[in-house]
Amino acid sequence: MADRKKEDQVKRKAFESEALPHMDALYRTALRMTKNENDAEDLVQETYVKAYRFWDKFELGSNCRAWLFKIMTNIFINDYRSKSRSPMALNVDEIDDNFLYGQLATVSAAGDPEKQLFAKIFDDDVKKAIENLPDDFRLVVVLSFLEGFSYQEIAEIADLQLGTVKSRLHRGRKLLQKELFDYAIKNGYVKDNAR
Amino acid sequence: MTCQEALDLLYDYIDKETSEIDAGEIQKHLDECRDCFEKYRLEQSVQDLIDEKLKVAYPTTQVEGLKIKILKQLDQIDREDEAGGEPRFFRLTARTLVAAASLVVLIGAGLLLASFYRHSDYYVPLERAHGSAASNPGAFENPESTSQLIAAVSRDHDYNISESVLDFVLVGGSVKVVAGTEMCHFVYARANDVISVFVAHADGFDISSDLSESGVRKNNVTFFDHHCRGCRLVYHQSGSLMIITASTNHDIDLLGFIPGVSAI
Ligand SMILES: [Zn+2]
Ligand SMILES: [Zn+2]
Repeated sequence: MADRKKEDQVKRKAFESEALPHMDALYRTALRMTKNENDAEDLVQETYVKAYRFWDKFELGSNCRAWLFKIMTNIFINDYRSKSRSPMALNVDEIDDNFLYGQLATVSAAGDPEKQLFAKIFDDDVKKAIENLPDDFRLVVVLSFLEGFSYQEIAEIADLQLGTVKSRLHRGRKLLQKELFDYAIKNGYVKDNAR
Repeated sequence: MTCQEALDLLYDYIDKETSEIDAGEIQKHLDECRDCFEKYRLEQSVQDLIDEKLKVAYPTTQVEGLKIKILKQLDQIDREDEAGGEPRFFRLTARTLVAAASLVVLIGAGLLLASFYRHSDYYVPLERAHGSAASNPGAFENPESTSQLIAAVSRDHDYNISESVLDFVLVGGSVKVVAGTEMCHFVYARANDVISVFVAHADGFDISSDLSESGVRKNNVTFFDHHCRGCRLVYHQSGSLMIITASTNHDIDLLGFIPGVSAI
């Protein structure tokens, strides 16, 4: 019994130093994915409970952060992902690869058109644009842009083929660009140019 | 390298995912080709903008309260592991923290807002959990872990989960954290309907005030009934357990749906 207790203490100590420091990052992503503080807290708690129970399956020295994100992504996909397709998803294929380039070319007056464009995009717009992405795209975009995971890591975390990660990231980017351009127009970008 | 080849690798290049050789080739092409360079410059500056705005929009949030909850859950797992014996799959924590959180909202935001938040604190997580079960009950089919769960509920709480209730058949069960509380989620189904049964420790599980007025007595049990557009949740206590049944079909008589038998 004493041995068991000691073993447990070692396990707990290792878990606290290896796994707990990633809580802020997990919560940040959970919040982006669930869009709701209560759900995000539940999701992170469930992730840690699961991770602790399966701690003996984790290979010490391997990437703990990616392992935790994999557990969380799995719970998210099974329990939290909205089942209805976002209306935005329907338009994904219609966006031209050169969308932004084309838009800028048509309105480009003098100087740096993108500088004027960016001046009309606020922090909140980026936040809204990310939250409007359909779940599948938002997941890879958040893992890449916000958490800085590599394509290969994202493939493992989300259990996707490398090619699928790339294409979702690519289309997620195009959707983001289109949303941001729309915000810039709403915020007065084009009007400024037309003057 | 042709323009097409360079453009195909543009995002890989921006994300620093290309091999060194490819990166060199792309760099060389961008130095020589004005069109491609313009496209690269635009894409890179959009990416820089997004990265920069993301840093501002999403500062690392302080989640100390969450850390405390997680540590408590770990403590509980440790205590049970220490006690040895069979592995437990059903660990329950009280939902006092959720109650405390809604109290703050109540003081801070006035009564009107408070009832709104209470709905999202107390009911929405359950409604959401039921919603995902109803759209994919098959995900609960895992005979081995389901029977372990049933055994754990029976052993720890003397409550025997039934394999079938009315014309519903048990699909399976799993352990979930819902609204900060670890609970068992059992799923029953018949042709077109799914019922979720959430089983949690009754200790510290407070029935919110709007619900306590809705108590209906039937067969010596008091049921608390929450109706809304989201779904219907019916609470009742059995021994040491709080049992919550949920369905989106408001025609189902949840007051007649008793998912188990208490030995006490
Ligand atoms: Zn070129
Ligand atoms: Zn409701």
